[in-house]
Amino acid sequence: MSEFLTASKTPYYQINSTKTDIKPKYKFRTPSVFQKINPIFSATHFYERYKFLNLLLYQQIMDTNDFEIFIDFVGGENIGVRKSDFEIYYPQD
Amino acid sequence: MPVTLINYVAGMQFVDSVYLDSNLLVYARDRGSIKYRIASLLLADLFTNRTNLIITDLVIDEIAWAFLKVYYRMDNRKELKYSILKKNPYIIGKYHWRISSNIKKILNFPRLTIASDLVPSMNIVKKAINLMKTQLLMPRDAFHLAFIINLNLGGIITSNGDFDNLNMRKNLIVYKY
Repeated sequence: MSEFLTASKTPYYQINSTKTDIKPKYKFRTPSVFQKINPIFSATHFYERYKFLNLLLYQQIMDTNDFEIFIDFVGGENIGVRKSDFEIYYPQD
Repeated sequence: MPVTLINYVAGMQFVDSVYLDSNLLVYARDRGSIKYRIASLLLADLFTNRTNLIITDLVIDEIAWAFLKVYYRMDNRKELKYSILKKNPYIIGKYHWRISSNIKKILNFPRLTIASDLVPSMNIVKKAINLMKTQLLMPRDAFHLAFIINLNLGGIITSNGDFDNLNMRKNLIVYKY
């Protein structure tokens, strides 16, 4: 995981390159927690999904175990929960 | 000092111990939710600040219901009505594994405390009933606030406006997102 997180935030590919010119700038490694969940979860997908989070900073500040728990938790579902789903009173017909 | 409302911004510091509403935990888990990003950022700040995270079994109950409703809607393209659930309680069993898995991950959070048994229930009930009247709160919200007061917590993190109009002398910061 540290290999991925200490890499620059430069995207996996050169943005202005043509398709044939795409070359990996860094060899990302999928965080271990995702290797457990989904072994084929690519590092590129990981980067794209969580690029709005400052993972490099979090890794430096959080305890290692805390960081793993955090990454494992956020974004683990894609179900479109709505505000009304938090109404605690039973919905009536 | 009255209750203080603060809108969350990334990198914010928090008081030592905060009460979490169920919304934050579900939004941060669900990348398909409208508040996924801000909830995730907020959760990250809570982790990096080493803030004590306080919940009660009321919060877990709300989380379980939220996931149950969403899972059912995804599978059946319609809302889960109470009458449907009464007729077919096996619906709960169908989604139990997924719901419990999410809750187990929450229970694994660092510095998380389920504070339900840290205060005598009688104190909570009396306080909640009183708050319903004095603060014009819905019953469930009154119980949340009763825990916050009895545990002497300095803050609550919430995305709804149920606690916006509190009028009491207790020092409490309501972090809104």
